[in-house]
Amino acid sequence: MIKNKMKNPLVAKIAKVSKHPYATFIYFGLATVVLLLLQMFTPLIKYSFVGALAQTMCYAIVAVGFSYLLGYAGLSSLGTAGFVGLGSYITVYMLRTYSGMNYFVVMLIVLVVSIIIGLIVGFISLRIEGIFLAIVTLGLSEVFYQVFMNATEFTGGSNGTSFTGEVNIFPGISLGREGVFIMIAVFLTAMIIMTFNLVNSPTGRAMLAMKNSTSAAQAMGISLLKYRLLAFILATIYAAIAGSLLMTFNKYTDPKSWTIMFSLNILAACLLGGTRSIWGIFIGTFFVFGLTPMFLNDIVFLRNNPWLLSTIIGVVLILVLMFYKGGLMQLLHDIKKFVNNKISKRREFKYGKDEI
Amino acid sequence: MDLGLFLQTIVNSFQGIAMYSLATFGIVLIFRTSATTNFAQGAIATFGCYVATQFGVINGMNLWVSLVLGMLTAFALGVIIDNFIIRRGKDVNAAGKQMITMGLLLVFTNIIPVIFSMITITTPATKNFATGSFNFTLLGQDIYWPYQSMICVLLAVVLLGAVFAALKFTKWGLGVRATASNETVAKMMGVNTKVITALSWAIAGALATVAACSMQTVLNPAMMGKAQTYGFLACVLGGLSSFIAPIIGAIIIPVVINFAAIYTSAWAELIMFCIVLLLILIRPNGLFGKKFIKKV
Repeated sequence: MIKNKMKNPLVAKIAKVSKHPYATFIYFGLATVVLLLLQMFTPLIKYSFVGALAQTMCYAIVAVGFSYLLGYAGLSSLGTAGFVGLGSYITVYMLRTYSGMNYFVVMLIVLVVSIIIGLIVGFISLRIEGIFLAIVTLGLSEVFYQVFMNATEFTGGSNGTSFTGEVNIFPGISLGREGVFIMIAVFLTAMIIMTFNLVNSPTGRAMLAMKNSTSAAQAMGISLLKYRLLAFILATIYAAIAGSLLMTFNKYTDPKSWTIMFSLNILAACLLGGTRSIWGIFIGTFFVFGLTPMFLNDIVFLRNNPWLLSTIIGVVLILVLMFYKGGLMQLLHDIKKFVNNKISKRREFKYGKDEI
Repeated sequence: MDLGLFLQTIVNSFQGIAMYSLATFGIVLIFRTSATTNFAQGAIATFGCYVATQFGVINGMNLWVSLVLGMLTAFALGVIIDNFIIRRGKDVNAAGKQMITMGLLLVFTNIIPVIFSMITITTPATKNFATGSFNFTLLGQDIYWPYQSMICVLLAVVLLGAVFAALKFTKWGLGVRATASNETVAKMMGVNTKVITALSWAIAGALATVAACSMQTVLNPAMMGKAQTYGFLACVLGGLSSFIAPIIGAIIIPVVINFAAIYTSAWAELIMFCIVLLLILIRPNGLFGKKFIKKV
């Protein structure tokens, strides 16, 4: 049997493909789509669960983009909310004003704008560093917030703005709720694969060197200008595209979503999971954004006392930061090590030392 | 712009200046001693303000007594947070400490409405120390200065004056200055840095409570958010290398907002942000800051 399997070229190919580093990311994307199908055709999964999942996936894109800054380039930014909001507002404005516009054209515009903004912030980061940079980007995010609040003819002011109608991706093909969900899953998968490639390439290593010591990195011939700009441009692109996707799914946005609280939550999601691990960031994002709307809202007691949950998230955040610098990923790693240790001890006890 | 409007605008800015300087001073004190930015500052202040409101408005106590009670609560909270949370972290870096305070912010914002369930959005704040205004003539122009604002300014001047005097002339102040310049060396010289930082957190909380109580908005758990953002900006604008420079930043911000509001009230804050960010870009170490020297 086994021999036959080995000979079968198709099975061998599948076995090879499934060991590819990208495979787990693609499985993840497919798993989310399976959840969507389960919701559509079976009563196993609720309508609201899929909505929460889509939003969490958008936030995960933002957080992965943010990890370029925090985990690799070692730059702190609190401007995330402004960039995500910008992506949302550009999308809603374009889709509403030019109805029936191809969504990919809108996304291209978002991309161009986010590259420009990223360039500007990148240049700022060359002059200002550390905590000061965080506060300046916070100020920048406030500038965006003021624009969202006061440019009422574009943004609808404090009541927010929405659009009805479908999202055209090709002439004749428009996406409803499910289609947008699949698009988000595709984008998430593509972007984490891109991140995986980039951080394991010379670019990622150069950023890491820059994080550890700017002077040493410069001495090794790494251009601060190039990599800081690159890190900020990437983070801004991820944020703006996530904002745009979020808009197409929610079809509504308001300025209150894009305050400093959102930036801090993204920062918390990154730190909670572990800043340099994609899965860690997923866990962190799920914990901060996804846990409550996906699962815990079904528990009546928690639904009536929403403060309890946010407080618990705050306490867990404090505890993880105090005792696990590497985030929940490190915690999982430690638990695994602990269990393995116990198992080997047990074996030693059972079979004696020489048998192992 | 005529002279009367000019003078009146400056007088109108006094309350904002008093409030933001109190909030800013707490931020810079914590930054200098613990090397972190405290995001929970506003939340601690809000807690103190709620305590003051609970005693002063709901239980009908004297406003001044309740204000002192609120300050004491924030003082105690500061000591507890520094002792049991910030100091206990296992080799936490500056960004980590910053995030711990963000966790505290989450906890406080959610717990406040539960603990003080009697205080709702309609509860009058402890803001009314006095009513009416002081009318006077300056350079031939009629100016009015509300007593409320006058009391806030007095409070800020007295409290900040006391803290600055303490920084200059007491042993604690010397310890703070030593810790600010280098914590390890200060420890080696026999400064009890634990007491120094705990007191810094406590004093920052108490001062910010006064700022929260003098704020003219409705009570809600996120009421200090804006003051805190302005405080951070004021710190960077003034420069964090001395204790007095951020206060100058805190004076500039409300004045700029009030002058911009004469022309356009909706965009006043945006104009302020743009001006301040440009100033910071031109002088990254702050208007009065010294360059931080980095060692390789």
